[in-house]
Order: sequence, then structure tokens, then C-alpha cells
Amino acid sequence: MGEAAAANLLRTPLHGQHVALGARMTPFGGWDMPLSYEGQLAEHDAVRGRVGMFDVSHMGQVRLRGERAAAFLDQLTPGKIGRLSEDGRSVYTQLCADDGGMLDDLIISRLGPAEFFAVVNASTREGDVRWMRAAAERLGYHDVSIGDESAHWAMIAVQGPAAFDVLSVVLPGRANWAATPSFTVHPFVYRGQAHLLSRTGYTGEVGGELLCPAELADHWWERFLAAGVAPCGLAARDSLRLEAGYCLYGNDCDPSVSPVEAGLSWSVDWAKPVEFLGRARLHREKAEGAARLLAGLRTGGRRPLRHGEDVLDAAGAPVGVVTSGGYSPGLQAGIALASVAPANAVPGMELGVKTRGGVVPAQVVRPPFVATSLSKK
Amino acid sequence: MANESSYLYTESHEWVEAAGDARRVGITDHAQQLMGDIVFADLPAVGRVVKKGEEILSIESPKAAASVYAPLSGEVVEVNGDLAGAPDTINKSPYADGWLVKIRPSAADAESATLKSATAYKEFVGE
Repeated sequence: MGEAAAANLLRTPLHGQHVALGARMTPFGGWDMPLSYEGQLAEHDAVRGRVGMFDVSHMGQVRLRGERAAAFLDQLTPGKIGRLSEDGRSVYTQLCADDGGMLDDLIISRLGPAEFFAVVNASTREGDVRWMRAAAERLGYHDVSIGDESAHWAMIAVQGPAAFDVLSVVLPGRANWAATPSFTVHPFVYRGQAHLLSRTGYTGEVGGELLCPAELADHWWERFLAAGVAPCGLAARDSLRLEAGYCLYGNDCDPSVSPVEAGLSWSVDWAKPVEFLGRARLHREKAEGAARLLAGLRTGGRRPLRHGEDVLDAAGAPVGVVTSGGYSPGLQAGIALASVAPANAVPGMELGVKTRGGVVPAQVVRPPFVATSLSKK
Repeated sequence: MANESSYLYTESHEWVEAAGDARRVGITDHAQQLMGDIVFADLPAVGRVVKKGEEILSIESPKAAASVYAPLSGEVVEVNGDLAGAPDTINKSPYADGWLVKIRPSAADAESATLKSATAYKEFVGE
């Protein structure tokens, strides 16, 4: 990449740290992000075996305030907003268009009875905020304020079986992070500034995501480095999330895909009485079956599977397409998430993937592809 | 000990080393660095007859797949079987243990003249 092109990319508050560490940088959703430092496989192993950290400051943060904010979120998303019955709880859900297609996936946390905090994907942030504001307008929630705070926040994900040891040493106040439940959020104040430690992540490992003001990003990054946390780039982040079976917005799901099709039915509140956006399609797909489903595929060889490769049934007929493909360092095998006809999304079924080297046999498996500190809990 | 300064090179980042009546072929350090962690090498069958410039195998890292082209015409007489279980050898030792195939050339003299010296290759990649 030439310098002129790189100059147009956005930089996180930690950009200087990445350059100083000699990271290979890559454009990602309009941002100049670290692809890897030491090497993808070493970083992958660091997170599975001990603890690594990722700069995820490119992600967006949106604060929703108002007495009726919870009711608005219940109508805005298919998710289990009812679970946010106490401060500090978080839920994973989606933003759906009226037709049920996914505009984004996000994590919403309750900071107070009338205050919620959403973390959204980087490339969809601006559209998400416009969508939320338009939805509040047309659904009659004029009293709910929607503030885009993305420029204020930096975000560092600390992930791995030793993540709690590091968080307990580095972060002030709380000694025992291992005792906090997954999908909770913990506000604290440092140097007079509001911080959040969110007990979430996207690697399949335990850990947290630290939200801090941009000007303190260097401070925390350096503290984590000093505590022995391995800096990890987007390449390892992708192989970790794929092994964990997590879908990636823009690859496995997009505005044409519903949460049911993306295998996210578990996150939908099927019992809630409100007319949430996209409800008709989701309930129809739940009752009648979806046209396609996301399935895990595992091969017996090392060749990485690739986004866009055709999935074939035993007779060689096309039945779907790889949406996220890769190489699993844990299995030393090619793995994928693929969008396939529901009749083919049955664990144990033998399918094939048409790679550049010919058709490779692949078995349908239920992710996660490997056992992780989170899946073993 | 690899003596890559005596190897010949292509603009598609393969190297060629004389090995008896055959030529050993691999990819350059520059190429392996661009690839990142190599996890798979799709080696050709022994006995395959290849033309200079033809794709003879592909090398894959989690993020990229790259074609390796025959630097010379001839017959594949041996492949590096150790790579099947340890493809990262290409990263660790691109000029020695990470070799890919041996080709018995059919027109070595004429075609070798089209390859670059180590110095010319270094200039080509701007090192």
C-alpha cells in the first residue's frame, strides 16, 4: 500500500503503538489496522494458551438515554432486552431492517435504568446510528437520545485463559475478575475518567474488553504489554473467532441475511410480545424453516477454506457457499462457516468444498470447532 | 547451509539451484515474508511434465493463496514430502529445508539465461 492511500485511512488512538511494535498494517473497513506483529499463528496460540490483546478501538460506541430507552431497544432489536433487568448486564443482539435482514450485530449493556451502551461494528457505525435515530423517530421514541461516542472511546480486548490474572493485576479496584459473569459490564473511574470493563470478547476465550478514553489508550496498552500480554492483530482475531464459530458481520451476515439464517436464533427473544423490527420474517422462518442456514464445515487436510468457495453435496451438486473460510491452528485443518440449504446443515453430514485444488471433503460440525476456555466453562 | 547468492531467480519470486542433473526450486525469503505463516503447500505429482511459466503448485497462508510457477521446463522428479506435515518450514528456511520440488530441465541452458542473478533479483524487489 502506498503512503498516499494509507493517508486516507483512519487511525485508532493506538496506531503509534502498532507502528512502534513493527506490526504489519492493513486497511480494514476504512481503518489502518495491525494485521499481525510476531505472526498470526504465534498470536493465535498466545490467546488460546495464555493471553493476548487486540486494539478494537475502530468499533463504535453508542449511548442511549431516556426513561423509555429499554422499551425502544426491545422494539429496535429481536434480542432479549428483558435480560437487562439490572445495571451491568449485557446482551448480544442484532439490528434488523424491517424485512428482517441484518444491518449489524451488537452488544448492548445496561448502565442504568434509563441508560444503555451499545458497541457496534466499525464499518456499519454511521449507518447504525442513522438507523437507530430514524427508528426512534418513526416508532415514537422522541424522548430517547442516541449519542455516538465512538471518537471518545478506545477499546482493548484482553483475551485468553490467563486474562483474569492480567486484568486483576493491571486494573484498579477489583481483585477477582474471574468471579464476574460473562456478559456483564463494570464501570470504574481512573484518573477522574469513566472506564468500562465489559466481560465480553470475540475469540472464544475468557477475558474482557476495556473501554477507556482515547487519551488513556497508550497508558493501558503499555500496562498490558508490561504485564506480558501478547499484542495480536486482525489475522489472529479472525482465526480465533472462526474456530469459536462466531459469525463476522459483512462475511457471514449482511442485509440479505436474517438472524435465523445466520444461526443466531438463540439470541432472539421469541416470546416477547412487541412488534420488533423484522419480527414477521424471523417468526415465519422459525415456524416454516429458513431458506438457508449457517453451518460449520471441517476438512481432514490443512488447506485453508476460502470465502466464496462452493459447497457441494455428496453427489457434487451445489448446496451453498463458504462465508468465512480459514485454517484452524487448533485442528491443523481447513474450517469454514458456510451458508447451505437447511437439509445439508445437519452435523455429521459429508459435503465437499470446491477449492482451487479440487473438491475437498468436509464434514458438517456444530461450532465451536475447538474447545476454548469459554466453551469449557 | 544455503548459498542463495549462487541461485537463479524469477520475477515471480522462485529460486533455482543446480542439484546434479536436476534443479531444486523454492520461493524466496521476500515471498515467504509476504505470505505470512504458510500452512499448506499443494505439491504436484512426481513425473508431471511442466512448461516454464506454468503453475506447478500453490502455497497457502490463512490469509492468502499464492501460485508457484515453473522457472524451467522439464519433469518433476522429486517433491519435498516433509512439507506436508510442516509447511512452516518454507517460512523458517526458504532457501534450504523449505525447498519445494526438483525439476529435471529439458532446456536448461536456454531458459536459465532468462533468470536473474541474486544481485539482479535483490534490485528487482528493492532490497
